[in-house]
Order: sequence, then C-alpha cells, then structure tokens
Amino acid sequence: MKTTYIMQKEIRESILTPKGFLWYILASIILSVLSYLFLTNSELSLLDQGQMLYMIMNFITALGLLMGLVFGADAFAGEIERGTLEALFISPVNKTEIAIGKLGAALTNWWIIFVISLPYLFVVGKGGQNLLTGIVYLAILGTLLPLSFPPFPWDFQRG
Amino acid sequence: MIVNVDNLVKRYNDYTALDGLNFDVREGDIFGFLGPNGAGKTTTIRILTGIIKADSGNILINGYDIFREPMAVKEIINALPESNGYYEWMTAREYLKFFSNLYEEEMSGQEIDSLLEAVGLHGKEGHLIRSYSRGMKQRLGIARALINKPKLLFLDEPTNGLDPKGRRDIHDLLIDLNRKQGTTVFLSTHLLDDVERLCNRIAIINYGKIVRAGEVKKGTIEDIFFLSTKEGAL
Ligand SMILES: Nc1ncnc2c1ncn2[C@@H]1O[C@H](COP(=O)(O)OP(=O)(O)O)[C@@H](O)[C@H]1O
Ligand SMILES: [Mg+2]
Repeated sequence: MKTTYIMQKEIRESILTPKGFLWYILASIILSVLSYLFLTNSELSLLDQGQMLYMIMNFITALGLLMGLVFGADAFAGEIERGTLEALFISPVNKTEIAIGKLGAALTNWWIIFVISLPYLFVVGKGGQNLLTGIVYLAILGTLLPLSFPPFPWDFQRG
Repeated sequence: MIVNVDNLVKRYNDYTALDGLNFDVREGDIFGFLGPNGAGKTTTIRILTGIIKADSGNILINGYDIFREPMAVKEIINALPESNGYYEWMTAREYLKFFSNLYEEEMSGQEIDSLLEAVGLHGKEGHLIRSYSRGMKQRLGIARALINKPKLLFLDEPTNGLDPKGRRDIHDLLIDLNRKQGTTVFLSTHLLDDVERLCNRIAIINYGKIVRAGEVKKGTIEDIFFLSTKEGAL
C-alpha cells in the first residue's frame, strides 16, 4: 500500500507534468516522421516489412531506454538534491517500498510509450507475419528496461 | 530518559565526525543540542532518527534500540531535517496527506486542516508549496513532523535563515507543543538566542564530543558556549 502512494507521487511528479507530456509528444512526432518515411520514401520502401518493423522497434526501445535512464538518474539524486529524501526516510516506510514505488512509476512511463507506439507498429507492420511477435518482444523488453535503474542509495548520506 | 546515547562513534572515511558521544535527554525537556558548524549535530540527529548507521555505540530511544528496532522508534519520533526540501508542486494539504498515508493511520481532511491551522498556515492550505515563504515552509515541515503525534521531535537548526518574526513564530510553536502536548523537543542549533528562549537543558558538542551538558541558567549561555568551544578549553 505504501508503495502505491510512493508510486502515485512519482507519477504526478515526473509523468503528469508539462515536461512529461513534451517527451510523449516528441516521441509521437518522431514516430510519425519515421513511419511516413518508411511508407513513402522510394528507397526506404524497398526494405521489406520485417526490416522496417525491426528498425522502428529499435527506435522505440532506444527511446524507452533513454527515458528510463533520465527517470532513474533523477529518482534518488533528484530527491537528495532537493532535500526531500530525508523526510521520506524518517517516515515508517522501508527503503524497498520506496524503491519499488519508483520502479513502478518508471514502468508506467514505459507502458505509456508502448501504447503510443502501437498504432505506428500496426501501420508499418500491417499484414506482416512478424507484427505480433514484434509487439510481444517489445513489451517484454521494455518491461525489463527500468531494471537498468541505478542502485538504491542504501547508506544515505549527503556529501 | 527518552534518549540515551552511549559512546557513539561515526566515521566518514578517515574523518571521525562523532568521537564517543554520551548524553541523555529527559522526557518533557526542550533539549538544546548546541555546537558550532561542523561539530556533528546533523550527523547525530541522522543517527538518532535511523537515517544513517553509526560505527559503534548504543542508542536507546524510549527504551528501543534504534539499530535493532528502527520501525518501533519511527512510530514515536519525528524530525524536521536541516535544510528540508519540499515537493513544491503539491499544496500543503496534499503534502500532509501524502506523508500521513505513509503512517498506518490515515488523516481526514479535517484533521489535516486543523494541523495546518495549529502551525499558523490557516488560509494557505490549498496553496502550492512553491508559493510559500521560507518561514511558511518551515512551519509546514513542523506540521509534517507532527503527523504521528510524536513523543519526541527532532529539529535540526529550524530557525536558520528565518527573519526575527519567523524565528519567534517557531519558538512560540515549540513552547506551545511542549506545554500542551508534552512533546519532548530535541533542538539542534548554533544560535544562542534559540537556547535562551526555549531550552531547559543543553548539551554542547564540539569536534564530535560533548564538552558540556546540564541545566540552562538564563543569561549565562553565551559565556558557557564560548568557554567550552574555544580551542584549548576542550
Ligand atoms: N556525508 C559526509 N561525508 C563526509 N563528511 C561528512 C559528511 N557529513 C558530514 N561530514 C563531516 O562531519 C562533520 C560534522 O558534520 P555535521 O554533522 O553536518 O555538523 P553540524 O550539523 O554540527 O554542522 C563535518 O566536519 C562534516 O564536514
Ligand atoms: Mg548541521
């Protein structure tokens, strides 16, 4: 339960913000441009559908990784810098609960990117046999991404 | 004794920040933990509140060993850290709601508002913390530290950076809390004026050691402080 409260706070702090929305808008613009090029550019459209799908999935994974890193870098460093972590640690919530809450928010972020990219995957991979495999692969990969989080500052000390 | 510190040692790499600290705090005290910058006040409070580990020594808080039963201790204490930061995008109400959720007992909107009123933030409950002055933030920090109705409240230099009015407000708040709720207050400060107005007992820390402890007699604190912290008097 306490984990849920931490996660809600994280989501409000980093996803439901102008900056968060900017990321998602940027992601859909880039995905739109990419898909448009794939489908209209004569050279690129020579690529077979599987290759196109593969390239666009790579892009989505890279985006997820990048955002995961930005998230992860700020998860604890940001709270230490703003002086808010200590009050959390004084509360009767253990460090694992805090860490899982933050991880949950990072995962939520990934799922948003995933949902945004679904329509593009369908358009680019339409009718192809690889589409479903690709989507499943992407879902699993992305879910593992936030595990690239930096380690938790178990022995909290401000330098 | 609500706090019992016995031979506490803390090292940061090679540097010994706390060098065998011994002191007690009695229940009902407004205890002044006094010392110059860098003496080890913040380090001591972080250890007593279970935020960092010590290298050796024993600490009992209300009879609980902070190292063995940190969760039991956290239920009966709270603290306002030094230069405490806030989730500035929250309103004061949301801020208290969030922290109250981390305690088992949830607070109702009414309870939250009356706590905010008690620290003098009436009428500002729905404002973003971003718009708060330093003194208002400090009062909100104290409200947060009162969520679990602690028996023992740690405050790490709570009047730092406040103007005279802001400082007086904090003083009045703490005196009130001590008299009406019987809360024991552990106040770290390097401002002698805080001690004069508030504390009935003090301990003076310098270079990680207690150099003086005892009752406060009004008007003598400045002499005592300089006598016990000046080089050579250790
Ligand atoms: N995380 C840390 N790493 C290394 N040294 C530290 C750290 N925190 C505090 N210190 C050192 O320990 C000493 C005591 O610091 P502190 O407890 O913050 O003193 P005070 O709160 O009395 O000003 C200082 O010399 C400080 O530089
Ligand atoms: Mg300090």
